[in-house]
Amino acid sequence: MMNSIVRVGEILHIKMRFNNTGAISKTRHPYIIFKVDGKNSVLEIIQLDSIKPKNIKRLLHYKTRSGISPTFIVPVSNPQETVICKDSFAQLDNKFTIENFVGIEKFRRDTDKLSDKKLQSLFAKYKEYHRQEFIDENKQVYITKEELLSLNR
Amino acid sequence: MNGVINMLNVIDVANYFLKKDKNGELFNTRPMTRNGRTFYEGNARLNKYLHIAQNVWIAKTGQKLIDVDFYAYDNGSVALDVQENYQMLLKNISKATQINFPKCQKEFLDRIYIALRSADVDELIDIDHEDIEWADKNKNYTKEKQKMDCLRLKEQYKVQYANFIWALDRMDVNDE
Repeated sequence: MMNSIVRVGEILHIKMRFNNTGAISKTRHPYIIFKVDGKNSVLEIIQLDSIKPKNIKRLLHYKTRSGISPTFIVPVSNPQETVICKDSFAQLDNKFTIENFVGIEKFRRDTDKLSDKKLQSLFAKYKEYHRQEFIDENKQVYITKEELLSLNR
Repeated sequence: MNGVINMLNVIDVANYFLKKDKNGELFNTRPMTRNGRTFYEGNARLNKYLHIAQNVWIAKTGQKLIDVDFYAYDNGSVALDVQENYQMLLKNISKATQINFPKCQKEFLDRIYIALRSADVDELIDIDHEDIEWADKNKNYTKEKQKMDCLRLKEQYKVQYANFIWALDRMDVNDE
C-alpha cells in the first residue's frame, strides 16, 4: 500500500505512449490525475490537449448511440486557469494508467489544479463515457515506472 | 447571423475548396478501396467537407448552407453532382470562376477547410458515419432511398457538433 505524494486533480507534464501499437508523443502534455489507486500503486490519468487548428477535427467525433462526445472542452477562462494557458480539451476514449512511485512528483510543476467546477465536470463526463462506451483495447495503456522514465529522460 | 441566408450552389462550394488546395495534395486522384468500393481519395475528401460543412452550419443556424441533397453511400455522404463529376471539376478548376460568397459563409468555409485539412480520409469517413441520418439512409438499397434529409436532425446536430462549433468560432486561423 503506497501513500501517494501526488493527489487527484494535480497535473503531471509527461510524454506518454498513446496506444499499445506504440505511438509516442513528441512533446510533454499535461495529464490530470483522475484516480490514485493506493492498493496497486497506480494512477489513472486524463490527457489534456490545447485546441489548435490541426486537432480541432477531433471535436467532431460523437457517439450517437449513447449520445456522448469522446472529448470534453476545458476553456482557459471563466474562471482563468493557472494550469493551462490555452483553451483545451480532454480525450475521454482511452484509459491511461501509470505506475505511481516516489519521484513521480518531479513531473508536477506545482500542486495547482483546474478550477473546481471544471474539474468535477470533466471527471463526471469521463466516468459517464467509461460507463457507456467500450474503450478500445489498443487505447487501454499501462506504463511502468521504467517506461515512464525512459520516455521522459 | 439573423434571418434567412441564401443557400450556396454545391459546385461553387466544391470549386472554392478545390481552389484552396494549390498543390493538389488534398483533392487528388489517388485510388483507395474501403468497404468494398474503390474511389478517389480526393473525391471522398471533397464530399465529406461539403457534408460536414452542411451539418455544422445547420447546427449553428438551423438552415442549410448548400442547396443540395446528400446521399448515404457506403463511405459517407456524397453530393451526386460533385461525386459524379469530380475528375471534370479538377481538370477545369483553373478556369472556374471565383464566386464571392457572403462574408459569414466565406469565413465559415475557410475555417472548415483549415479544421479538416489534417484529417485523413478514413477519419472523415468515420466522422460522417456518426451522422444518424447517414446510418438510417445507408441501410436502404436503391439510390433514391439513400437520399438524406439534413434538416431532420437539426436539434441533434446542435448537440453533436457543439464542441466543434465552440472551438471553430474561436479558432485562430493564423495558428498553424
